[in-house]
Amino acid sequence: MVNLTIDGKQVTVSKTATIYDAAKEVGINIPVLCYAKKLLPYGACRFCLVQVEQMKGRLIPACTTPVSEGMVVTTTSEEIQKVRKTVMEFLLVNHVLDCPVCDKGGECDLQDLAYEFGSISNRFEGVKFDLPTDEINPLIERNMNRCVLCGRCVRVCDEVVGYGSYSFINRGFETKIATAYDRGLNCEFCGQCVSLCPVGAILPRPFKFKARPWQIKEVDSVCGYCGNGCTVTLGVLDNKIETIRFNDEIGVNDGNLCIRGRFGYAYVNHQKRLTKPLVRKEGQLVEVEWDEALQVAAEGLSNAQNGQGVGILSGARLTNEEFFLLKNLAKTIGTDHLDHSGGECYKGVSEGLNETLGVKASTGTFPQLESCDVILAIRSDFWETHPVVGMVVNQAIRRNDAQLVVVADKRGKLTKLPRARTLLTKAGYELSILNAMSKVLLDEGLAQVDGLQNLDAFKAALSEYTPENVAQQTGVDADLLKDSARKLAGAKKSAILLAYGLPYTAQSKELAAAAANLALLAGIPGRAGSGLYLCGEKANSQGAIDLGVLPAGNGLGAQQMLTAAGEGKLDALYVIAEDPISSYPDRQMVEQAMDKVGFSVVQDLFLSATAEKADVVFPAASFAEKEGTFTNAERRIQRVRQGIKSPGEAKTDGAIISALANKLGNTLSFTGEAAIFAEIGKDVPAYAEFNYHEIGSQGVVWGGETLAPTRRNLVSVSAEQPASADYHLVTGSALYHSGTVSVHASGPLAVMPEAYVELGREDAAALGVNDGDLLKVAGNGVEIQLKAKVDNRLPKGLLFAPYHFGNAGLNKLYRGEAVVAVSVSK
Amino acid sequence: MTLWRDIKGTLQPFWITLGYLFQKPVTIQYPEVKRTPPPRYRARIVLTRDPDGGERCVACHLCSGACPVDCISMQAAEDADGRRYAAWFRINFSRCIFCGLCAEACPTLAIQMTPDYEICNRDILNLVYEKEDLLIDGCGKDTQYNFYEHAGIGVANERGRNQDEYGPVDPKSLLP
Repeated sequence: MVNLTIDGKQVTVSKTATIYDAAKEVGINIPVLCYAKKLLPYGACRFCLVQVEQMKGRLIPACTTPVSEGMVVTTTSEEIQKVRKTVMEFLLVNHVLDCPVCDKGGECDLQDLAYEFGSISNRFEGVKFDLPTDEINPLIERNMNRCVLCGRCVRVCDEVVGYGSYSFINRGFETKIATAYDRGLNCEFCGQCVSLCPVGAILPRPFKFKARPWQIKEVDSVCGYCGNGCTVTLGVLDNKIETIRFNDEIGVNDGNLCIRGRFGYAYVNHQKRLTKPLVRKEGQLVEVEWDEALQVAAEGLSNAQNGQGVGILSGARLTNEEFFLLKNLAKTIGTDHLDHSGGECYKGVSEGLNETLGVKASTGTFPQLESCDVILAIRSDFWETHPVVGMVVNQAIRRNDAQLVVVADKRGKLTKLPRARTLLTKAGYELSILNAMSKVLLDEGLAQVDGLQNLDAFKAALSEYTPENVAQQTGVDADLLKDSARKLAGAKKSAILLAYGLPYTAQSKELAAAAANLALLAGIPGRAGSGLYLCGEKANSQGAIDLGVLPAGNGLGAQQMLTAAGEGKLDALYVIAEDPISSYPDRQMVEQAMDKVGFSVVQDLFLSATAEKADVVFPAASFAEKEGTFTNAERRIQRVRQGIKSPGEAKTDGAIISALANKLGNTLSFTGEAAIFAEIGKDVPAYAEFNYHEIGSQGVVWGGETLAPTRRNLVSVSAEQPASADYHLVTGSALYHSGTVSVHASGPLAVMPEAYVELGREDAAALGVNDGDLLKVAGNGVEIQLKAKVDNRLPKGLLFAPYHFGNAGLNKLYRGEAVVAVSVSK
Repeated sequence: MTLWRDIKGTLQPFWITLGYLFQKPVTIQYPEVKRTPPPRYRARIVLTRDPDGGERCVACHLCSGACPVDCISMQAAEDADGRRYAAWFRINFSRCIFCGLCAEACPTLAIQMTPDYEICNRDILNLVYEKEDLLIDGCGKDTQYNFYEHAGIGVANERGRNQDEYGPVDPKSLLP
C-alpha cells in the first residue's frame, strides 16, 4: 500500500493504482474522456492532467500515472483548469455543434465537460472533415465527424471483445477511427463500442430518435437469454423497453453484453405476443376469458391424471419462484412426469457431475476465470452460447497471459484468440480427447490422485485411450494433446469450460463426467481460483436443476414423456415456455406426441409451432415483466425486476401456474416472490441462507466462490463412435441467437435473419457451392433445404447448422446424435 | 389633533379619486376593446421556421426537459437529407404556465412565445395543440438565424461550406 496526498486529503491505495483511481477513492472527481474502468489506461484525451509536487509541478495525466509514496497531488488549480479548457478547445476545433440533433445529447461526456468548463468560444480554427456516416449495418451507426479519438471503442473491441473491428488510421489532424480498409462496420454487433463511446460518434440505431436519456426509467434486471446472468438495465419509456442502458456499476458482467443482451430485447415489445388465452373449439383456437381457459385446462389435466397421466415440460427461462410453484402444481396434479429443457442436455450436470463430484453445479465463479493460468474450453461453441464469459476468457489471455486450449471440431472465436491452442478433432470425438488427456496425466504421474475413488478401474478403462490411438482416431496431434494435458496439470489456477443446451444433447452426461474426471486429476474442483464450469444455455438452467424440476421417482424425462405421448401412453402434456416442435431433437417424435396426446396446454409468449397444436394456450410474460430470481451458470442468484406491464391480458408464468393450481383445488397461496423464495429455502438448503430482499446488485452465490465437491469419484466413460459418412452435420448455437425466442427479436434477426448451413471452402469448392446457394442436406431419411454459408471455420467434411430457426426444420434431421451423417447436394 | 387627522383621512382619498375622475381610465372594455401587449409578452407558444422555410424544430427534447409542468411532448424523426424534425409535437396549453423556459432552452430558436393571450376555451381538450396548430410560416423574433448554418453538419450547406467554417479537406491530398 502507498500513502499519498490528493488536494490535502490523505489516501492509502495499492501500489498498482493510478492517481485517478486514488482520487476516486476519496471522492475527488477528475474529468476524463478516454478513461474507462474496465480498459487499460491509455491517456488519449489529456483532460485528467494534474500537478504532482515531486514532478516539478509539471502537468501529468492522472489516469496513466501510478501512485508513489508521499506523492502530493493537486487536481484543480487555475493553471490546470486553464490547460483543461485549452484541451477542450482543441477538441472542439473539429467537432460539429449538432447537439440538438445528436442522439447522445443529455448523456454526452463532451457536452458535460464543455458545460463544466464553460467553453463557449474557440481561439483556434481548423479545417473540418466531411466523413460519411457509416450506417450499412442495421444496429450500429458511426458518425466519425463527432469522434473525439479517445480510442475507447478501439480498445474495448480489442481488449474485451477480442474482435478488433476498429483501428486508428491516418496521422495527425486527419486521424480517424476506421474498420478494415475503411469499409462499413460488419462485426459481431455486441455493441460494446456503443456503450463506451463518450460522444455521439457510435450510436445504437434501434434507439435513434426514441427518447432523451432523462425521459427514460432505468430498471436493473437480468438478461433472459443465456445462463451467463448479465445485468441488463432496461431503458423504459411509456411501458415499452426502448433500449438497454450501459451499466458497469453492478452485476457480474462488468457492463459487457453480447448482441442478444444489447439488441435482442425487441421480442418483448413484439406485436405478435399473445395477449389473450386461447382454447380450441371446433378445431380452431379462439380467444376466451381467463376463467374459461383455466377451467378447461384444469378439467383436462385432472381427467388426464385420472387416466394415463400428465406430463409437464418446462423451459429454463422461468424464475426460481415459478419453478417452485410449478413443482407444487405437479404435486397438486399428482404427477411425477416433470422435466425441463429437452431432458438430455442437462444430464451432464444433474448426473455427470453428481456422480463424479457430488455436486450439481459449476464449481467456480466467472470473475475467477480472469486470473486462471490455463483454460480448457470444450467445443468452440462456448463463445456462441455464452459470449460474455468468452470475453472474460479473452481478458484472462490478454491481461494475465493465460493459455487457452480449445478442444473443438470447428474453429471459432475462441480458437482465434491470441496463443489459443486448438485441438481440432473430427466431430464427435471430444470425449476421447478428454479421456486421453486424463490418461496422459495418470501415465506421466502428473495427476493428483489423493483421495480419488475408483482410480484403478478408471485406469483400466482408459487403457485404450493412449494419445497415439486417439490422435489417429481424431486427427489431433498427439504431442499437442500431451503438452496441453501437462499445461493443465501444471497450472496453479485452471478452468474447464463446457456449455450444454438443446443442440448438445448427445453424450452430455458422459462428456461432463469425462471433463470432471480430468478436472479431478488436475486438482481443479475445490481449489480456490480454479473451476469446472458447466454452463446452461438458458437464463435459469441452473435454477431448474437446483429446484429439482426433474423427473422424480418413476417420473418420465422429457424425451420419454414425448415418446409415451406419441404412443398414446400419456393423456396430457403441459408445455411451459418451450417450443419443442421447433427446438427439440427429433421433430417427428415431438409432432407425433402433440398430435396423439389427448389434451395439451401450452404457455408461451408467442403462438409457437407447438402452441398451434395445443388445446389451451396461455399468454405468458417475458423476463422484463416479472419479479423473481434467476440462478446463473455459476450459481449466482440474481434479482429479476419488472420493467413493464405485460401486453393485454398476458400473465406471468407464476400467476398462471398458481391460478391453475387453485382451480385444481390447491389453496396454497403466497404473498409475493419473497415469501416463495423463503419457502424454496426449506426444500433447497443452499438457498436457505439468503433473504430475497438482501440479494444485492452483485447477486449472491450459493455454495461460495469455490464449491467444494462432496466426493471425488472417477467414472469411466467411453466414447460412442460417430457414424461414418462423407459429410457430417453438427448442430449448435449461433452467436446472434439464443434458443427460439430471439428469432422474434428484430436486432438479432436483422443480422441473422434465417437458417443456414455452414461449410468450409474446400467442401464448397468440391460441391461447386457459393454463399447463399440453396443446399439439399439429407440424413436420417429426411431431406431439408438450407442456404449455404461458406467460410474458413469448418474442416473438410463437416457442416454446421444453428438450431434456432424452427421453420427450417433442422430437427427433422437432428435426432440428438453428436454428429449426423448426411449427404449434400446442390 | 385627532379630529384634524380624521378630517384629513376622509378628504385625502376623495381628492385622489377626484383627480383620477378626470384622467383617461386605465381599464379597457375587453373584449370590445383590446390592448396590444408588448412584443416580449409570454403567451401562446409557436414553432417557427428558418429563413429558408424549413422547420426549425429538431426535436431535441430540451423544451420538454426544461418544462416545469411537463406539457410538451414530441417524437423525433429524420428526413432523407439529414434534417432532424419532430414527427409530431404537442403542447398541452391547459397545463402550460407560460413561464418561457422552453423558449429559453430551445437551441434552434424554434419554439417562441407570442403575445397572443386569447386562447381560452370551453373544452379543455381543445387546448392540446398539435404541430400543425403550432407551426407558423415565419421566423418569429429572429429573422436571420438558421441552426443548420452553424451546426457544422452538412444539411443546409455542404459540410464546411457554412459562413463560419473552413472547407473540408481530403486527408489523402496531404500525403507526400
